[in-house]
Amino acid sequence: MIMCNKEQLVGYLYDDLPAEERAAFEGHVAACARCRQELFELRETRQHLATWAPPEPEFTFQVVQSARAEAAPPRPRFAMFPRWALAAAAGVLVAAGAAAIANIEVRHDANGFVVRTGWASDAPLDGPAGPGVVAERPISADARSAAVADPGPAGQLRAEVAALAQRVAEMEQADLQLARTGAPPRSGISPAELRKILAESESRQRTEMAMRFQQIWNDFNAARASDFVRVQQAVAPELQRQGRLLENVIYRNSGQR
Amino acid sequence: MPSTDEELVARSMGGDLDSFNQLVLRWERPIYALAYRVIGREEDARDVAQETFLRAFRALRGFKGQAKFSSWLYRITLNLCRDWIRRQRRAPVAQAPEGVDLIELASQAEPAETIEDLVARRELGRAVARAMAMLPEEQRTAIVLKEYHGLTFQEIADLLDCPLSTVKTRLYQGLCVLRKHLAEAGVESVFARNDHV
Repeated sequence: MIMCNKEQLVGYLYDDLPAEERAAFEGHVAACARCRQELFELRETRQHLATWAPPEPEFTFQVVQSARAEAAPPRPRFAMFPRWALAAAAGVLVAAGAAAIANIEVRHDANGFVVRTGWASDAPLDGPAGPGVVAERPISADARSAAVADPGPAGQLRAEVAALAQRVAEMEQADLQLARTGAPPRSGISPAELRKILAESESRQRTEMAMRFQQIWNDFNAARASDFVRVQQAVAPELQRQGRLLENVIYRNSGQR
Repeated sequence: MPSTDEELVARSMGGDLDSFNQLVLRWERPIYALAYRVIGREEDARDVAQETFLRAFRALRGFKGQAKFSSWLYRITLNLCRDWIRRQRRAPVAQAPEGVDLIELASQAEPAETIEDLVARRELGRAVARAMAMLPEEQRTAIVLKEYHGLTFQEIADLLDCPLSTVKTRLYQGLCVLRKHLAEAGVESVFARNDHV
């Protein structure tokens, strides 16, 4: 007869014992009241365990690429919002994202809708700074990589501007060295010309940003107006019906008097 | 015929996102259930499940197929659960539902089960959750993997990096402690005492 063996008991409990070991354990249990009782109680505990179910999850994970994510249909939870609200939310998101990149100033005053942009600067510039003023210091590697990491059109443009600024700085350094050695200045685009290109590029970007923002604003207004008309069309018949009912009630009451 | 995990993994490694999403669909509930039973919090279990699939996706090229894909997922999940428990520095919490909706309950009843039986079953489930939360993490994990995921002793030993005998010991001790906690909670016996072996 074998001794009480807890590992065998667990193996037997989960029906995971080789045939020979199983037969031996059954022989033991038939003669050992303590193991029999323990086996019974553990089976009972397993029965209890079967009643514990996790809450039913309401999710479906999905791994998507960013392009697919944009193309994916909106989730149903957004269906409750009118289109103009979604357009407004999209506008705010675009504006916030763009502002984070380009220091946008948005104002709506007596002069109308004003959008003004200027590149964001992480640290104070050495020279005078403001919209349209290019940094005199070389663009850091971090700033360049951050600009390249941004996949959007603003990010691309920013990367181009950063690259041009870097080129200007390099050329200035090279010209300075040439001047020190007494050599004639080299031919090609001068730093001043490059500065002009940079200024033009930034100006173009400002215009494009303003146009995009204006377009979002127009879309938002059009969607809101359209939804307003639809709401009016849906509500007007019901209001008329309620009016007629009220008139009937008043008419009946006056007749009873 | 549905593709096997191995086929889907191979296609996923080749850049097929849909294949990976099929794996996610196939395993998200078991992974969530494992996380929920180990850490005991619905929201956090959901986060752990999501993080499991993200990590699996990122590390897919490192998956050599030496273990089953499910075992690999379980391992990631258990590591995340362990991190969670370490961060929380406390035992998992047994969540108590805010209220019982009888209509919802009725829809969940088995054909031969009355509402009273169902309520009793839910109560018992909650008592089990509370008792499980009181177990040491190693014992709880061993019970969850064996009881709810049907892993063999050897698979559990491989997952937890411990000898086979340790797995059996943890299971035995865990079940004994659980039985004690349930008795203290007033859970009654469900078997007749004369029905042995």
